[in-house]
Amino acid sequence: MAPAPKESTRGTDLSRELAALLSPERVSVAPADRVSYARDAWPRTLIAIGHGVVAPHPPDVVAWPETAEEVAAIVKLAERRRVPIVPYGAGSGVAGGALPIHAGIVVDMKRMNRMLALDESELSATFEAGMNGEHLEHELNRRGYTLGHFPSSIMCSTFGGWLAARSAGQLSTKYGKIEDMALSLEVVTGRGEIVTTGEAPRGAPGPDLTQVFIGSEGTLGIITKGTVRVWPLAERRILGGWEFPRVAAGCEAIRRVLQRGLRPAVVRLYDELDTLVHKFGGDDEAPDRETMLERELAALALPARRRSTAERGLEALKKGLFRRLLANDLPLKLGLLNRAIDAVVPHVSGGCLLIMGFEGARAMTEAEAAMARTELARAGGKDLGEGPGLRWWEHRYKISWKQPRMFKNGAFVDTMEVATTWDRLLDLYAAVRAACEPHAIVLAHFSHAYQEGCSIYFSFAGAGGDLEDAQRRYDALWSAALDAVTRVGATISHHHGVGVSKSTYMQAEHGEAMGIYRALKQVFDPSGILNPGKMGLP
Amino acid sequence: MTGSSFPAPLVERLREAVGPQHVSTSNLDTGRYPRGRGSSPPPPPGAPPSDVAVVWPGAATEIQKVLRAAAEHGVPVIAVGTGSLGLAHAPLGKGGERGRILLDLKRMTNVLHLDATSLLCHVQAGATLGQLEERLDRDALTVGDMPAESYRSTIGGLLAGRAPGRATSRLGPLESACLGVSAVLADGRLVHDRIAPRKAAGPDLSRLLVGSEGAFGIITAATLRIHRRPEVRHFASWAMGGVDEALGALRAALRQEVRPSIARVYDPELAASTFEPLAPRGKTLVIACCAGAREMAQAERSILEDAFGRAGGVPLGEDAALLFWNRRLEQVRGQRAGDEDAALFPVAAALGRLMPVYQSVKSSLRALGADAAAAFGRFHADGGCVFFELPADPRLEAAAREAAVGAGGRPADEVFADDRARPYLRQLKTILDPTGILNPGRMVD
Repeated sequence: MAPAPKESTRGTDLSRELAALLSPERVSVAPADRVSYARDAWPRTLIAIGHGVVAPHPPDVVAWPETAEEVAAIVKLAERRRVPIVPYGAGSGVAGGALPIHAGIVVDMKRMNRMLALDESELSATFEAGMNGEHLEHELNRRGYTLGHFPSSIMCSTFGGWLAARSAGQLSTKYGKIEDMALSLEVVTGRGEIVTTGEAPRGAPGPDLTQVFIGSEGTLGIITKGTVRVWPLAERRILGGWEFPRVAAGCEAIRRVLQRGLRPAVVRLYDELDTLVHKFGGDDEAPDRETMLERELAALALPARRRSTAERGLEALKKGLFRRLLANDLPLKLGLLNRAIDAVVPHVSGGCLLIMGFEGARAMTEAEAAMARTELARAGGKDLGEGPGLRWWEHRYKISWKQPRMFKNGAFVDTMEVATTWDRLLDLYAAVRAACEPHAIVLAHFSHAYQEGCSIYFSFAGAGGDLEDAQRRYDALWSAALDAVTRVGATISHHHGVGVSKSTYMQAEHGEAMGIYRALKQVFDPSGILNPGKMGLP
Repeated sequence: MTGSSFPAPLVERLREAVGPQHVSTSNLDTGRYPRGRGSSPPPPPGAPPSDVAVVWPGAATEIQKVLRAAAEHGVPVIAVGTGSLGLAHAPLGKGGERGRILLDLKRMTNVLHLDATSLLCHVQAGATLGQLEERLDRDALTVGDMPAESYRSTIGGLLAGRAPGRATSRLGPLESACLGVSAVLADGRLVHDRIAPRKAAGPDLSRLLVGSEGAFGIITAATLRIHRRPEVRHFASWAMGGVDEALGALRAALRQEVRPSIARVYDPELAASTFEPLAPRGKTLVIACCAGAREMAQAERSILEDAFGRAGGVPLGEDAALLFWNRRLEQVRGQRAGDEDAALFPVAAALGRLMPVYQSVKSSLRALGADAAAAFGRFHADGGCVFFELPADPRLEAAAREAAVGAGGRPADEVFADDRARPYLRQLKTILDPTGILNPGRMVD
């Protein structure tokens, strides 16, 4: 185990000044705090932690402001001292966006956690940026409303984090992503000034700065407050499951439903392998990412399909089989393994599972659900009843809490959410799978569907020997995947954001338009102190 | 061109860029663009050519060359579509004394790619919404029911000069349907958005160009979400006891997630003058159209019937709504002059503020011995628009404007209001457009 980070002189000096600005108990240079904020949920850092690197990127100091004015004062201090400043919500980001890679000040926003207003006549609400996602939704629910934003990380993410990274919830097909909900923001710029965006009604003249700050991941300003559109709580919810023989048929059915103008809340189509994983999952337990992958490996390693066999397989995996299987495999063998999956899995899985659900005002929800049922049957879907939908609903927040266990075993799992238009969607699916097969086991589901296209959520599992080997394999996997994504013309991110992990692909994504982003950076953060080294910026 | 005060070497550069037949400094050509409020007066007949050149580029690459040449000479460039924003001859900021290039995009009207699978259309910015709609109609596709006045504007103009009230209840404002743009920046760089649904790869950079009235870049093409032609259209109208009841019932229906493709509320005075003899005397009139998939439109109609029925509305059948629809079609096709809203004073407001704005404007005018009639429309999730028919008197218009703003409304011609962000935008402009050639004086000055 590596030792805890040593206290830095810069940190000690800064903490003194910060204590004067806030109060001493809201500033810390304690090793425990610096270790806590030396990571987010980026799997590459989890690999390092799994190999005993206690604090991959420790900040010099951590501060907990309570008002926008305090945030502004911290930014001014950082600007004067030319010290990096990294806003931090709940640290659930999987792209390294909240990592203090150049140390400096981590500004934890979680003390700014209040609901400030609910305007029931305008259906809007205002929250401080550090408010926990589940608390936010709960506050609205108590009053008869919902934001309609349900990321699987809802219990461990914040409102500000959602805005900063263009987050999507599981019901995004109906309610939109966070950028569709946002009406206005309060932001502290890199000059330490508080700016409000979007006070005019939507559609008013002028550039829309709200949409410029959303997704800027702390590189242009620190979001301190936001006003969003809210909805009355759903009067009715109708969920269902359907089976399609192939991914292509399922995608086509979803497209038809959406292009008839229907507004399902949730749409999730699992590819054959992902469907198989669901079938292995018992009714009492929704599989999280890690369990899914373990089970999938179990299914491959052992020919029988009986649950007892799968359970024995799982035991073996826990003893390290999983790691050995992947780590000792040459890319060629891994490719063969993936091709074997392709050959076998469709026969075992029985097809692809589609979950579709509607919610909202009673009459429209019922009308639309009935139409969707007809449309899906017409597209060749086999109606499985409401069971699969209800099961998904009950376990929708069960994310990979236990992920570190797998990383401790030397393996890694990760996910990549990319999106494109319907005409390229299957090309994207095929290209990414082909590119990744030499490096990892790949499974995918199609979720967050819209009239013009859909996101694909790929899950990867791989492993390496020592830390260097594991990170080399991890990087090779990601390069292969993102090269394929940009080659097809899809976007590199639908809702996880860019952070460090996709930073080098920003140029491919935006081309010459990166010049506009650099100009914005120059204007809103002239000293370059806001979350440096991310998003393709210096 | 002899006698023009427009720099001759620049004229040469422009001719090389777009072809000699696509450049003119003649007053006949430069004078054909509408002059908005505050614009310079037209030159008298027989006057020598002014310091204005019109350039008709045929491609984004030609616009790149035009902007590079303009930057070298420090001459401002104003993109014009149909000119309906009135910017062509509007006063300019610094640099305006060196003349101006009117960049007319009417040669750039092609549909570059029609993706019927994803329901997306990549169209050049010089196409009017009407031209695009004609093209889509061939394939049973549509941009959706947008306000009639939008069809005569170019796509580029609609996006660059987004205005409140151009939204529809079903589709929102046009920029909501825009997945991305291509644009030329002041230094001649051509930028393209990657077209994908709901990207999370950083800020939405195109939102700086959309709404900027050409101050940050010139939009050359856009990718718009389109729709299949509606399977059905249900028209309906109701007579209501008052404006308040009508707005309340409509709001209740919108909360039931109804998205009518058309919904309008006319106060008794405007209902009488617009729909005589279909509108019952002294009653507020509501007209609506539910369009789309058969079963959905039927469900939406039932909810509207229920909502207006509960609020004491008397169903009037479809005649008034059909009359509105037919007039709108004539306007869209150019068979009917003007738009019924064109002469009206539009004020955007949140849904709950529409009634206070209406009452406040009326009482301010009554205090001056006048009155205003009004219609409400363009309802969408965040608000709607009230259109006032005002007496032609600047004093009364000023009073109406003040009253509307005081009650939380925003007149459609008011530009950018976020004062604390303005210095940042000004600095951004100096970085992206160091020679200040792109529509100087707009947005940030």
